Amino acid sequence: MRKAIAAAMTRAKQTIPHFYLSQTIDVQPALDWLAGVNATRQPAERLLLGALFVRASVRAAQSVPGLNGHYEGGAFRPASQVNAGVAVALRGGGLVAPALLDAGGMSVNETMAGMRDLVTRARAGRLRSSEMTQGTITISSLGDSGAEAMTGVIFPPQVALVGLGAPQLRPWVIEGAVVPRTVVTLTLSADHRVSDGRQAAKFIVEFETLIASPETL
Amino acid sequence: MTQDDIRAAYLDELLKVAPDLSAQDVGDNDHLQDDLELDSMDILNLVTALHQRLNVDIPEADYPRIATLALAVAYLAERLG
Repeated sequence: MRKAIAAAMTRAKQTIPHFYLSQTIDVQPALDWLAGVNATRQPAERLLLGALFVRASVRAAQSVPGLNGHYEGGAFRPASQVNAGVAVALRGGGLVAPALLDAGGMSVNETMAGMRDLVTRARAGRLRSSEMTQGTITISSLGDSGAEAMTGVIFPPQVALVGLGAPQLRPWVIEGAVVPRTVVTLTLSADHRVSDGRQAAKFIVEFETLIASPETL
Repeated sequence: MTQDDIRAAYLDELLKVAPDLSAQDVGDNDHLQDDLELDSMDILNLVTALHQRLNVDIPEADYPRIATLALAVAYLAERLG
């Protein structure tokens, strides 16, 4: 496992000219919305913040197709659908990023169910080869605990990775008043052979807009 | 259901969620996330399993009350009345 990760990451760092854009995002509306939704649901039907992150990333990738696809044979091939790679930490160590295939047409509930299935099968070693090779953009979230920000390495031949740090309670200015809010730092890693800062910024703005209105996801 | 039964049920479901752990790895005061390295998906799966097994629906606000084996046994005993 570690050798495979080392090979892929070395290839990525040696061949992909990464650039990075970061934005700290107020996720309090998303957390409040989740709390309301989950309070009415039994555990099997509850949503996690990570599902909203994946859904927002998928929608943003649909808006910025230059970040969704593969760079192979010296050219970028935009993907016709969004296959959202979801980074899953394995409990024995290591990391895999199986893809939620054709996630563009999924609802938030379907995204959550798909993630739950992927994580379960990833940890049981029962992933399909298509799920391991057909990702078009990867989302990696540190979850509830961990570092404030993550600057990730793109999984080749993909051209972008969305890194999300752990939620942090921070002072935040809303309409001139300082209030405590839970925020998350998003760092978009992108391939400069394919995209530039303008496209990356558009992706981040789209993500932030969607997370601010989770009911629209 | 006795506290020993609840403890056994919680441990059984925890070890299904995290099969790399053994019962000997789980101390009474080990924290699910900080010590046993469960993530939010693992905890949701544990809560779902406990709901199915014990018919106790644990609201999100109560997740801290099952964060260790000792806390969980006390909480579930209270809920099962």
